[in-house]
Amino acid sequence: MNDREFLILRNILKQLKEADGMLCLGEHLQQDVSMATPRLMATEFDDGLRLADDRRLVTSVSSERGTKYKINDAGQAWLSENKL
Amino acid sequence: MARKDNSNSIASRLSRIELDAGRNAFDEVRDWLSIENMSYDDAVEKIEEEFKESTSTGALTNFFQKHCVGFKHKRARDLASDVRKVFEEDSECDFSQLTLQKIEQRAFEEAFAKDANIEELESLSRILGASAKLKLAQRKLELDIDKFRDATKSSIEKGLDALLQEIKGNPDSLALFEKLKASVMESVEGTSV
Repeated sequence: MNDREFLILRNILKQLKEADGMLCLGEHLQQDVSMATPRLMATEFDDGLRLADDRRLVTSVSSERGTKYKINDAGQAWLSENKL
Repeated sequence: MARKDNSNSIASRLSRIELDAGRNAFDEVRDWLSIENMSYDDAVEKIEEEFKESTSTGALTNFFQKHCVGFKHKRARDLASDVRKVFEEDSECDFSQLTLQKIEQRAFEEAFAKDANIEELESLSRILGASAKLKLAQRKLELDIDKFRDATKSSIEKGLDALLQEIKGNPDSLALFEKLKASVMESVEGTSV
């Protein structure tokens, strides 16, 4: 993982941590991660979210409004390990 | 060791600009970015215009990450929790914990959205309130129908008893009466909802 990918993953997990147990819609998550990450491209966000999902750092739930995400224990641990 | 605050950061400079009602420029800019979803370019211009402070989109990105993310989420969570409380405390709404959780989640999503539609949230509340009232009205109607059925049944039974007294001793009439009674009772019970 390069620095940019690390930054995006970190911002995704930090956003979800702030939701404090509530599920975040993918599009809302993207809006805020874009605000917190300079010049974020949609594909970079998608890759970051896929990375978080593949590493089982987030829990995703499909709904009629779109996929929703929540940070799980592994995601919380990842943030702690990285002192974030 | 505590991290030294950068007194030249945009957050520090805005904090030093006092506004009305105990607010300062920091609160104002945080609201622009978190609640009004103002773009960084517009915010840079507006900060220059209103507070005579120069900044950049990069500095505002840091500002957003450090001061707006938590604020925005807390605000959305508080609003969602308030909406849940309204339904929890409304005696007309007897929602299960699962339904209340769904209401809270939906309210959080609406409050968090960039194009947050408070009207949608209000109409959702109205629909939920209306559905609770409809459930109560339906229950009342069921009780009324039960009362009506009991009253009808009892008056028919009285009539049948009187008829039975009159035809006592006539076997043909009694056989016919039993058929009639069975048919009437079946018809009364069959009309129940």
